[in-house]
Formats: sequence, structure tokens, C-alpha cells
Amino acid sequence: MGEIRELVRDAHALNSKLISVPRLLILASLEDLGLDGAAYRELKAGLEMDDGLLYSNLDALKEMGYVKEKEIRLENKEMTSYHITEDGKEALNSARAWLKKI
Amino acid sequence: MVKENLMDGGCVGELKKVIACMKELGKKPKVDNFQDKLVIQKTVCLLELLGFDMKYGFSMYVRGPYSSDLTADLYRNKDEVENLRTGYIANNREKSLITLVADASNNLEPSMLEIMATYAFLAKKCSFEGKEAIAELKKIKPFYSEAKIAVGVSRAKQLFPATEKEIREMKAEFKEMESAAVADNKY
Repeated sequence: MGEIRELVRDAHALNSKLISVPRLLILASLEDLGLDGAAYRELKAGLEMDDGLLYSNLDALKEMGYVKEKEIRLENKEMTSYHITEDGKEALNSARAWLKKI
Repeated sequence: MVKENLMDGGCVGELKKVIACMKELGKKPKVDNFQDKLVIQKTVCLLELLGFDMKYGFSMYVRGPYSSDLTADLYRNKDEVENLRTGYIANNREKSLITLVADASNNLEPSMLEIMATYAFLAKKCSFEGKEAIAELKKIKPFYSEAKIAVGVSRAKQLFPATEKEIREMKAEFKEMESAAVADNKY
């Protein structure tokens, strides 16, 4: 019973909007890329998500302040890249620690 | 500018060698420029696979092979990188490897480097062989045309000797072509 109380207590400190497979996958894939981040097309291919799923979850993560976007240029093509913020890293670590306890 | 003594003047890997490569290639990269960083990442990856050890561990990410240590070193030593300050001079073997990569990638065209490095990493480090490596490459980089991927893979193959499985696959392909040619002649 002690353990479940701890889980419940820790869950209050979590952002429950982050606990979804696509959102966790996006943050985990950006975690080690730092400020370099990844281009939209790379996320789409690497995470095997369709546009609807990827866009909506990137938007949600941007709103939460966990992901930021910037415009980049590659071989004269404009594209959007995404990188994780410090808040995003912290939230991902909290979620990871909580999920391990379950 | 030395900020912490990790291994090589505040670096995780041997950044002095990376800078020497850029110097050799006549590049003056900007650390905040996405394309310049991509060129550095993929060039170093290919050179390391060819045996020019710069002590950067590469792993597979959504961007293909990538070293977060290399990026960290580039940012920590931005001034040295952008002004190509290094005491290291590439030896003849290293110079020949640098020229090999530059020539094969159309003088470091970013997309060509990306295809070549990803294919080479899959084949050499991830145990994908022959057609499997190409299939995986297409999954990771579906935004490149078949033609571009074919050229990139063929250029990467020029850099590395073929594995036994690749030789077997090539022989099987030739055999199929030969049989088709013989069948054509019959009719």
C-alpha cells in the first residue's frame, strides 16, 4: 500500500499530458540532439508517424514549452526543425522515473 | 579556449583532428549553421568508419548516425572551430582519407554525405548487410529520391570493400541477368 501511495503522490508532480506514446517518443528522440534538434521530415520518418499525429503532438509539446521550433536551410530548401527545451528534458526524466516505478 | 580538461583541451573527442580535416577541405564552418554542422557530423562519421579515429562515438538517431559529443565539443570550442585553430596536422594517410570522402561526396554535398554516412553506418556498425542496409536507409531517409540513394550507396560502397554477403548477392544478381540473357537469345 505504501508503494501505491508513493506512485499517486509522484503522479501529482507529473504533467499527465506528457504520458502518451507519441509525445514520449518525440521527446526521447530529441533528447540527445540538443540544440541541433531534428528536421520535421526526419522525425516523421524515424518515428514512423503520419503528418496528423506528428503535427498535433508537436503542437501540444510546443504549447507545454517542452519543444521549440526553428527554421533551417538545407541545400537551399527551407525546413522546420525541432529541439527539446530544458523543461522538456526535466519532464521527460520525471516521466521516465515514474514509469519505471510502475 | 579551455573550459574543462576532459580529454583534449576541454573536449570529449579529438576536436583538433576535426578542425584539421575542415582546414584540409578548405571549409570554414559556422557552428550555428545547420548545414555546416551536418557536413561536419557526416564527414567525421565516414572518416571514423574508414579508420581515422577522432574518438567520437556515433549512434543511430532519427537524424541517422550522430555524435552528441561532437556537437557538444563544437559548441564548447566555437571560436576554435570557426577560426580553424588547431595545432594538429593531418598525416598523409589521414589526408588521403579526407580526399577520398570529399571526392566521393561531390565535394561534401550535404545530402550525399548524409546518404553515404547512413548507409555505411548501417552496414558497418548495425550489422545490416547488402540489400537490408539499403532497405533500412530508405526507411530512415524516405525523402531522398531512389536515384539519389542509388548514387549515395554506390559512392559509399566505393569507400569500403564489399562484404562476403554483398559479393554473394552481386554474383546471384549477375547469374540472374545471365540466365535472362540466355533465355532472350533462345527466342
